[in-house]
Amino acid sequence: MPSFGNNPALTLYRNLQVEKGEDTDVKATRGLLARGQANKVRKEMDVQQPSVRVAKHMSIIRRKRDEINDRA
Amino acid sequence: MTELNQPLLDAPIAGQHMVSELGGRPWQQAPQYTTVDEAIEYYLDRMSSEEFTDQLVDVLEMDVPVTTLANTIQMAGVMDGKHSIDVGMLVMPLLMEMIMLVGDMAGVKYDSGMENPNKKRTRDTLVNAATTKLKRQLEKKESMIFDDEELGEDDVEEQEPVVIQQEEEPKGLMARRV
Repeated sequence: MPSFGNNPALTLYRNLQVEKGEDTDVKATRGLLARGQANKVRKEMDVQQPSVRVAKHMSIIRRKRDEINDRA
Repeated sequence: MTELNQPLLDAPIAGQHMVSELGGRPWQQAPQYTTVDEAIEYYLDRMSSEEFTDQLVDVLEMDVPVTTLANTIQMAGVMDGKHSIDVGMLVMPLLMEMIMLVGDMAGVKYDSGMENPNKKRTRDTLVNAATTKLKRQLEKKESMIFDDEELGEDDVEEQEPVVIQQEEEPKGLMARRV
């Protein structure tokens, strides 16, 4: 992996691409006594990891970018 | 009475006037935002302001790579004591994505900084290797020519000397000249 100078941005960006995950829809439960799915989904998504959370944010922004570029 | 020849051990060290007390700088204090989420929120708020966006577009139009910009922004955050270097490293890809989003929205042709600037350039090592190879070939050829010349001289030495037989001129008084 080339590192152009001392800037780690490129390496970080490319490495995060690998970790990038798909967004998971959390289905809302209607019953009062129904167990929430949020915790389960959170565990599945591994959002405890800060890099995963950043990747989630990135995927949202990237989708927006793709929309703009497709329109142009 | 002080002795003049005694060294001054309590004198300031060279360059001490240029540094401040430990903890006197923002980056030497505890960071303001300790988690990635807080740092992301801080940057998203900051980068969505019109003033920042306008400046960012101007800089992107100047062909400053996105990677350089992202690194500079996060470094400024560390220097201001907003977050730690670790958080800055984690946030940097998001900053790049945000900068590119701003560029796309403004319709600017920006340099992402992800292409290798030396890609189309001939490698120095390749040029050096080719030069060395060529030099060796030249030296080899020169030595071969030299050997041939030596061989040629030897051949001449080995050859029997050519004796040019001159016809003896008649020496008599009444002899006829040819």
